[in-house]
Amino acid sequence: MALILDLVSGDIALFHVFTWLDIGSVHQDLKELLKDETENIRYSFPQLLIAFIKEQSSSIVKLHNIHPYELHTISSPKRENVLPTVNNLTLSSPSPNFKNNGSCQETRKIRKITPQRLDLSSDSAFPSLQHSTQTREIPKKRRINPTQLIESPVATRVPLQFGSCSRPSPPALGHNAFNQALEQSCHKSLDQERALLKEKKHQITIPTISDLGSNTPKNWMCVEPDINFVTKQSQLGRLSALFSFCLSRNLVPSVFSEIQFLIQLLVLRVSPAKLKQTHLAQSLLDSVHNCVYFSAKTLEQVESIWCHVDQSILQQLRHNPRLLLFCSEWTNDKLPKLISSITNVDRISPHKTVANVAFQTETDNRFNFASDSSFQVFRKQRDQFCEAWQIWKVNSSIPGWNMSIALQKMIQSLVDLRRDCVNYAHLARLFRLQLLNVAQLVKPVNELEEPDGPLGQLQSSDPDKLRRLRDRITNPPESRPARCIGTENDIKMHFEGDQEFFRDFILLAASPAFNEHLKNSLVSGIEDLSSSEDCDDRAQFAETIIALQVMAKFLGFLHFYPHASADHLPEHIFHHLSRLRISQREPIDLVSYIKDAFHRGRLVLVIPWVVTYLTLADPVSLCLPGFHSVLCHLIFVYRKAELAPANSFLIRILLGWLFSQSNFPLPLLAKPDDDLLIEFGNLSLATTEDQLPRLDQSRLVDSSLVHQCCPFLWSWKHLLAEFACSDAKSSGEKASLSRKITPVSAEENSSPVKAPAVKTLQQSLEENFFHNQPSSVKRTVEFVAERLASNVVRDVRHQIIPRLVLNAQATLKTWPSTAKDPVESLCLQLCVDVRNEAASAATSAIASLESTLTALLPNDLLPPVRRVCVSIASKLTQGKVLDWIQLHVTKSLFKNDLEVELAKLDKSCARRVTTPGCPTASDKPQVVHDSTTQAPSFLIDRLKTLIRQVIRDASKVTEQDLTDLLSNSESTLHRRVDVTPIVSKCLQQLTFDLLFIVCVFQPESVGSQTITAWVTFWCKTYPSVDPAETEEPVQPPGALISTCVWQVLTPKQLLLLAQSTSPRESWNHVTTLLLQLMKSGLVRYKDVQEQAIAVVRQEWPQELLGRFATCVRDIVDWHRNKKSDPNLSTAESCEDDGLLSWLSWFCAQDDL
Amino acid sequence: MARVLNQTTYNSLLDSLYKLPFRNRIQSLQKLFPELSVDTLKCVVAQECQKRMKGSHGRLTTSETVEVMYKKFTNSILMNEEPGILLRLSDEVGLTPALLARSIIERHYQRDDKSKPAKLLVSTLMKNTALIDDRDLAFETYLCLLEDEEYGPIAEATKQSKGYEYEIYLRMELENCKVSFLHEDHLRMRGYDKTPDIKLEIPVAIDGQVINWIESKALFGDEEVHRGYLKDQLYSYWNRFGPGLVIYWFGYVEDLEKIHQNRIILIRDTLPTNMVLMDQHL
Repeated sequence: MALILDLVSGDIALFHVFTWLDIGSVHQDLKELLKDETENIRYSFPQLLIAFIKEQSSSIVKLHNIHPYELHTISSPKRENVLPTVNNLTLSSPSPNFKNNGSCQETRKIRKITPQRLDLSSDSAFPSLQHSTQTREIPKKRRINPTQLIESPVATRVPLQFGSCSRPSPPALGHNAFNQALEQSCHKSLDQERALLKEKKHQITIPTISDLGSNTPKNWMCVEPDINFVTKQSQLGRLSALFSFCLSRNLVPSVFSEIQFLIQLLVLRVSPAKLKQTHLAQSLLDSVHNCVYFSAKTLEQVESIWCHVDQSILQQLRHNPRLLLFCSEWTNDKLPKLISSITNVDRISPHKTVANVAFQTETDNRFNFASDSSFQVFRKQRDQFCEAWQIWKVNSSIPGWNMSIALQKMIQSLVDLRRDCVNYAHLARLFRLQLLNVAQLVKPVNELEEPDGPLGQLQSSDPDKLRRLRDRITNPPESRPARCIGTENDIKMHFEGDQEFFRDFILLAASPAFNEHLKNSLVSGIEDLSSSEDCDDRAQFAETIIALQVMAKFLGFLHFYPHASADHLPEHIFHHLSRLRISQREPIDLVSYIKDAFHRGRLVLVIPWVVTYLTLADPVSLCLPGFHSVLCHLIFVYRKAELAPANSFLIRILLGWLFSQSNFPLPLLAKPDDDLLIEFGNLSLATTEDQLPRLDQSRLVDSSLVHQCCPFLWSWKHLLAEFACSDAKSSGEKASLSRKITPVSAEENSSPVKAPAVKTLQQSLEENFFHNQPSSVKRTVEFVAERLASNVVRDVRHQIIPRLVLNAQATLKTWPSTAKDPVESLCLQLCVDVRNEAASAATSAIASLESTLTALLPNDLLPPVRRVCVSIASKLTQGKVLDWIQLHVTKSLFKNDLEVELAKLDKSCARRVTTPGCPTASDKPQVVHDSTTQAPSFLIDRLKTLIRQVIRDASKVTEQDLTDLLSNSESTLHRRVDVTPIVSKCLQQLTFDLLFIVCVFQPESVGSQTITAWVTFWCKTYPSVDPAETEEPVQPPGALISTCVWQVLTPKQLLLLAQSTSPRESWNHVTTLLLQLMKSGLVRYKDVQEQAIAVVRQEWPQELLGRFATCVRDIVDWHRNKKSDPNLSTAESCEDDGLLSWLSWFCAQDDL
Repeated sequence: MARVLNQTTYNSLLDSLYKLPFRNRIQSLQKLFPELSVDTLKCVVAQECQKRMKGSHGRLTTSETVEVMYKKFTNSILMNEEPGILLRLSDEVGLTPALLARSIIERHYQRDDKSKPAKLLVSTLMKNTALIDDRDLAFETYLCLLEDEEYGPIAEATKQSKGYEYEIYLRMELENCKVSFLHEDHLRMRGYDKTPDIKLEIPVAIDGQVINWIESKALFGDEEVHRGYLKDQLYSYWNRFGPGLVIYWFGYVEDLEKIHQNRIILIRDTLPTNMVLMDQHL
């Protein structure tokens, strides 16, 4: 401390100090001061400096946050006062500052101290530094009625919550807007000031009670800083120069914390009454004037920080009355320029609402599952997952809704629906994609509230109240799943908004298997995105960074959650736990990521997610040897990495944030570079082998991305806004915050370098070839080859394989039944066939390469160069197709299809040997749909109605009707594409029924030509309907003889015939019909035998039996004639016909 | 003729429906609601009937009640009653004719241990009544099938056909509108796990809303039907492909879209003609 005091008050040129800090060379003057410890002190100097400043200001800061209107608590019954929060370097424990030692008496009277609010998680609570300033004077007439809150003119908004990585904040502090409305008249004159100071020095503490009593309620007081009262200006100037140097060179561990501290100094409010009571140690920063002066000077000098923060923060700075007073040049001139140079781009389009994960055939279809059941189960899992998400989305904001009651069962059952690695992996992937989708939709926290509504106003006037209100609405205490991690104090596990669903899903699922797969999925997702090449524009880049952060957060959650504890771990337990975990492996190799990113210039992409991951780490983890190296690397990066300004700001703010975490082992920060360098290993040997674009120098980071990644930055604005708010009450000032959005085009930045490797000569040639061509050439060739191969594979999968399998299934039917294992040999054959066809498909696809590449490659390429590209592309394509075939076209691919087919065949083969070539729906020639024909459903209806009318109402059906129906049926069945097999079958049955019934009931309407025409139609339409081929499996014996449609002589048909009014004609027609059916091969002689036997099992009137006998005799006669006619000879003609002759004779007997 | 009903009209339609006797309800309803399309009425009646059967089928077809009905039937045959025995019995017990016939057939073909015969046998007999060995049962069953609009092989075929006809019709219409799409068969071939009737390969907008898929339903969309489809199909499509459209060709009850909350699935009774296609000019 003495050292710094010496430095500040001495006359050593600060320039020498800067050089020393920067590069370590020590000037003679400095050497004397530092003695021999230059190198030791060098790295801890910034921390010493900070400690010094804090010490110097501690006594006054203790007094801070006294409400200037404290004397009027009586008039504001809802008062909930605020504790001062001063950022403490270590942050590890509540700083003594929290305890308002300065005026305990007062405190007792006017404050409800809210000790350690439960909800530490929200940073909105953070800055409630109610530094209600200085002795400040507000005229009586400016009284503001507390009820006018809504009309508060301040348009600035402060964040609700600070996003994902909340820092441990001091107790959340209530800030009652009503208080601010109170007024106070203030005695501000030099004399009074002096008197006050004198009083303070004399330490005559006037009892507050008497203060209370004696003061008029209209007064409020705080010390208003005045540049004229600043003492030790030159020392303060030197201190400020030192400090700002350390800040802008990132020598302090956490720029964020220090700026936060400076802002707190800036808005320091101390009541004269307090000053009176307290003895202030003599120090540099022992008055409000000095503090504000120091703060303003320092803030002004760290311009490099301000160009990366949100406009609204700058606006706050610009309108801050104290800054206006202390550095008017900066606020009036430079800041406005800076503000106008910063553009805020809202990357998230307001219409982006697609929040579901699209089904992609490449990753989600049956091919990606090991079995049908796995595929089917995942279909359910997918839907249930989406359902759970929907239910949560709709209900999570309803008070009293409890996710664990509502969803636990569902989530648990869906996660473990099939305990199979494939399903877990798919579910984990779905989970990750949905999470990323949702994460991309989240806007930067600050943008959430609309500024004009009452809520927006409340937000600017009393953010904490708004947060509490909102919490009450969206997050009633009982709505949180009972099993939520730790206590609410456990800020590290804080997830906000929609991410809560995913956190709670993991907790409620409580499935170790799922967690493991999710970890894998996240790790691979991080891996993929970290090496992503698609960082061409800001939107894309921001999306990548945010996706990485979210994945890292959940990975951290999964990994560190088991080690979380709400308690402070006693040392022996701490050591015990760390011994247990000494050789624990991290799920992801952070060191190699950091090293890699450092060498490849991609730190800006990697550091944000690494920090997010580490902020979730438990205290024990950070002290494990594995982490030691990670942290050293990060510190090295923090000190040494060279990035474009905005990129540098982003990663350093994030790293500083990490370093200021309470868990962070501070001693590491004081390590000299050399020690860290050892950790970095062979840094100098870095080679860049790949062509990933280097991002660190690109201009992809804007302030909105910075704020999205570091939501805690809003606390700066929060502090300023609160100050401005109470201030604005009196001044009526209004900060205008209109924003212009100007799209910024991205810069291309890629410098691929290719390193040769020891490979075959041809490969080297190829490598060199690409090396000397523009990088786009290689990318194009690889891309085209990739796409082309993918298309060939698609073709193989969707065209070639199904076609060949179909053929094979057909072959299976004719396969000699004696052959052994037809499936096995067919599969082999199929593999060969598919490979051949795939190869030829690839060849023909390659033919298109030339024209494609010509169109895509730079058009000034020499023709030979282009030819080489074509040949490389075709080689690549073929290679990829071949790889795929090797991997996927195996016997097992076809086995299932063929075995199913074989099983089908076996069923039907069990009855009769079938002949190939049955036309099925798929074999039908391509039909052009004719929508003018009658719809099948209409036809069914018409037939049904006709039949009903003939049977029931004896309605007349003319021959013309039948002819029309025939032609309609024909056109419907042959000229439409919407006839399903079942419908076709139904039409077959109904047309036959109709003809039969008309033959029976209205024989006069039917001519023999009509019958012939119908039979011809059936023959043509239903050629396969040979009873032998019907697909019905074997019936229990005796249950059914034949299932054929063409049943002419069954009991039912005879019953109909018995009702005929002109039986002779009816029987004639029926006999003709039967004969026609037999002639055309639709009904076989054997079928008639079977039908006839069934008939004679029942009793019938003799007359009917007589006619039946006649009919049967006709059949027998026809059959005999056919047998004797060699032209008509068929296979079945040799069948025995004795049975039917006998039946016919038997039935004709009168005495039956 | 209106096909989209508001809740009030729909309720009064159901009220009148409940009061009418089972047969020929459509003609009566047509007189009561002349402004409604006949197809819509038929559909509502059919769905009401199915709902009723769902509720009472189990109760009406216990082995005891079937035994009683079978006895009645055989008795009537012995008594030489007029044909239409089963139809009259159907009116009496409240089962639709085809369902009653099926129960009687099951009883008639019961196995020696009184268990039910194979389902396949029964359905084959229902499809081709000429195969039933008992001539009276065969004829009576046939009469039942001709009368039943909801159940039995003929009604099933009609329903299936209607569904498919409208699907094909929708495809034709979309082709006419130059909308490019994949239909169910394509999707199945490509291994999709859930297959809407139409998946638009290039989305279109209807009334300001982008849709990515279309499902065709040749029936009337009441709340129960719609909820069923949402659960089994429509939400699954939404989960995979985003917002879409369901067409209830025979109409629907207004305001069903409210059920979906933030999941956008449009409901229409025909393919809207004001589709906005993606600009494909160069």
